[in-house]
Amino acid sequence: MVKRETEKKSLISWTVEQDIGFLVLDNPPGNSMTALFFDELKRLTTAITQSHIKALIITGRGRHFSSGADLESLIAAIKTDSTGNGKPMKEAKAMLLSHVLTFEFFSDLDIPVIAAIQGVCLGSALELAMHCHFRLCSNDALLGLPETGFGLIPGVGGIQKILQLSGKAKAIELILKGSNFAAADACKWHIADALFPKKELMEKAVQLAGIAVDGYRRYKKAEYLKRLTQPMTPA
Amino acid sequence: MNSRNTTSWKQEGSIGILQLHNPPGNYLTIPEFFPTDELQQKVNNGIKGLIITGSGRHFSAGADLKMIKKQLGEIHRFRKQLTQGNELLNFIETMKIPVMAAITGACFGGGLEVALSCHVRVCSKTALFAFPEVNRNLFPGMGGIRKLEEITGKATALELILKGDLINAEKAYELKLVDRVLPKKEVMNYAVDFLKTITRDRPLKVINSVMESLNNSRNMSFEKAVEKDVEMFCQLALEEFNKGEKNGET
Repeated sequence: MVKRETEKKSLISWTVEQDIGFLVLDNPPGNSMTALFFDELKRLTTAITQSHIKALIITGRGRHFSSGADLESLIAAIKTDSTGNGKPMKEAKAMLLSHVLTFEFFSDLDIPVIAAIQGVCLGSALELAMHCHFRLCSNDALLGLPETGFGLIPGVGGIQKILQLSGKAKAIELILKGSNFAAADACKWHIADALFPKKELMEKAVQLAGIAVDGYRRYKKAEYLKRLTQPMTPA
Repeated sequence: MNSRNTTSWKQEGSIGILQLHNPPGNYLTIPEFFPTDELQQKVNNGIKGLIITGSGRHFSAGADLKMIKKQLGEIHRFRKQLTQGNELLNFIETMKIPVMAAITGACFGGGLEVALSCHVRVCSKTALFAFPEVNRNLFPGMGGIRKLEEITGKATALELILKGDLINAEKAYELKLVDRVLPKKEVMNYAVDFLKTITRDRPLKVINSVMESLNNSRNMSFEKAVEKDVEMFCQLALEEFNKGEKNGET
């Protein structure tokens, strides 16, 4: 095989504006999370660490947050495993564990990390969003963990995260059913934090970044959200 | 009286229904109200979900105090029975299929401990809950304290156990003690439908993996539990891949 690739388009766009980092999943329309995407995300963690940003917003380019991981890269890893003679599932396991570490980088950050979710946010995309400290959704957002429908389970921490957020009964229902749910339901079940018209979503995310930066983790999460959703009083 | 007279078993498709049957109060005559090995046998036969419910008006009014009094003469025997009861409830809590409590009427003491061992609790609007043990200078003896604390948090657990007060379904829902409140005649149908809906299209090994993962969160760090998820994911993925190969897909 000729090892020559044309210069790849970046799958994630990374910018900093006024001390806020914007990490945009940039592979429209679905912003699918491919093996290359995960490589890029992992590399970006270094840039984020060195950036001195005060808050981080993660969102998707275009209509959707992300349709989740594409199974191609997983199948490729399993193929390597089943043809190689190493330990069973060494490749696939190492790949997933690396994804887990990348996601945990975001939850471990000591600056507020906000997911701004529009359109679909499924599977690994929801797993990434659940590793953020806040999840703001547009009214039209559609969330879900469809893995069990493919004979799989959420593999990048999604089971543990949704259990913490929604409690055991709802976690069992949502994971085993595997069907999508609306942002309004996600809020009701504590999986998302707040709901906004699509047009206002980014503006609200930036506003929350500003509020949360001020003494982050000094208050309970609900306090920040209260300040965000309270109607603006005219000066 | 042995446990066989005080419980009944039936199956609706792949859903097992274990009924506490000692009317009217469905008192638990011994802590191990259903033999653990027999329950294991039922699981081995391939059920995909389990419902625990009471016969007649009530779920269970808990342990039979008269029985306890009688047993106290043989303290060693009683201690052994209590340990076996604990083991049964821990077995239920860590089952790799979803277990649901369908609760109507009284759900007190040991009965409430049984309900708290289940993964999902649905109750009727008229259901009542309490840990009345403290009124006899006792406390929940089958692991109920830990389970209650996990579900409601420490403050609520302390209050419920030390006060011993009755709470109604609405309050129980507010305290997260139950996951859903319904009109009495809908409770059982809801439980059966719920379990059938979530397990119908899912292979048993997928259900087992999800439940194992959720159970892991109790006795492992978050990181360790996620690592186990990765292992289970890979196992399932490999099986799916091999299946695909066989069907000529790649």
